[in-house]
Amino acid sequence: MKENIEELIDQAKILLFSQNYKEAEKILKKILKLDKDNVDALYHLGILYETVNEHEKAEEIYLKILEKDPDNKETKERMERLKNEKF
Amino acid sequence: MIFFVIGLGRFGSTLARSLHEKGVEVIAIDKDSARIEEIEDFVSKAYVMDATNEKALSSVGVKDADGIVVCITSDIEASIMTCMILKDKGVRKIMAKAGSELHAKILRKVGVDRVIFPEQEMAHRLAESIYSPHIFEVIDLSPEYSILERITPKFMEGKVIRDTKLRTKYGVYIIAIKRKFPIVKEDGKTSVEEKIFIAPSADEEILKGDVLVLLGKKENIDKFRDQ
Repeated sequence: MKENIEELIDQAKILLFSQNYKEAEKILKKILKLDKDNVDALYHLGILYETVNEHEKAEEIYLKILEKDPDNKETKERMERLKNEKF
Repeated sequence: MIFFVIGLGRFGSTLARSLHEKGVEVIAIDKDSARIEEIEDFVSKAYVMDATNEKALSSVGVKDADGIVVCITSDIEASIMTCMILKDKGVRKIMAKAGSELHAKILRKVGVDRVIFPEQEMAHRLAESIYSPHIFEVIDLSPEYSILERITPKFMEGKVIRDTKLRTKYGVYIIAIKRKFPIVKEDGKTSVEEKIFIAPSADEEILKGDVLVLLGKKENIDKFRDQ
C-alpha cells in the first residue's frame, strides 16, 4: 500500500504542477482516504487550495498538519503567508 | 512636487513620511514642537507653527504648493480656519481630514477639494471584504470609472477572454490577471508563486482562482462585482 501511495503522490504532484487542479485534488483526497495522516498529501492539498485562492480550505489543511506536527517549518511559513495576504 | 502636511498626529505623520519616501518634497507643520522633532528627519522641512496664523502660513510659501493636506481633527475650529486661509491664498488643491459628518460638511462649504474620512473609508473596505470575500479591492479612478479586483467568477473559469464577452455584455475590460502557481523551490519543497499578466491577450485562458483586475464605468463594475 505504501508504494501505491507514493505513486499516487507523484501523480498528484505532476497534475498540480501542470495546473490540472481538479484531477490533482481528486488524487490527493484519494490518498487521504487511504492514509488520513499523510502529511505530504495534506501539504500539497493545502498548496492547491492556496493556489486557487481558497484560503479558508488551505488554512484548515495546514492546521491539520500543525496539529500532528507543530514544528513543521514549511507549513508554519505557509500559514504566515496566508495571514499576511489580503482576504 | 511640493506637498504640505498640516497636523502631525498618527495620520498626518504617516502620510508625510509615506509621501516623502515616494520622492515628494514634503513640508510638515504642527504647533507641537515634540511632533516636529519626531518627524524632521523624515521630511524635507518641518516647522513649528500655528496654522491659523495667516502671516506665518504665507511666510513658508503655501501658495507654491501642489497640494496641502490638513490633518487636524481634534480642533475643528483650527481645521476650518486653516482651510479658509489656504483657500484665500489660492492654494491649488486642498485636502482635509474630517472627524465627523458635520466637520466634513463645513469643510466642503469652505471649498476643500477633497474631504478624507480614513476610519470610515477603512471600515467600508473591511465591511466589503467580509461581506464579499471574492472582492479584493475597488478603486474609484474618477467619478465615472472604477477598477475592481476580484476572484474569477465560476462562469468564466476555463474560458479564454474572448469567449467571456466581458466587453460586449458587461462593458468591463480585463487590464491584468494575477495568477498563482505551485513551484518547486531550490530546497525541493513545494511553494506558491504569484505572477501578474498585464494587458492579457484575448486568447488568454482564465483559470480557477485567478484574480482579475477590471476597469470599467462604475455602473458596469457594480453589475459585474456580484456575478
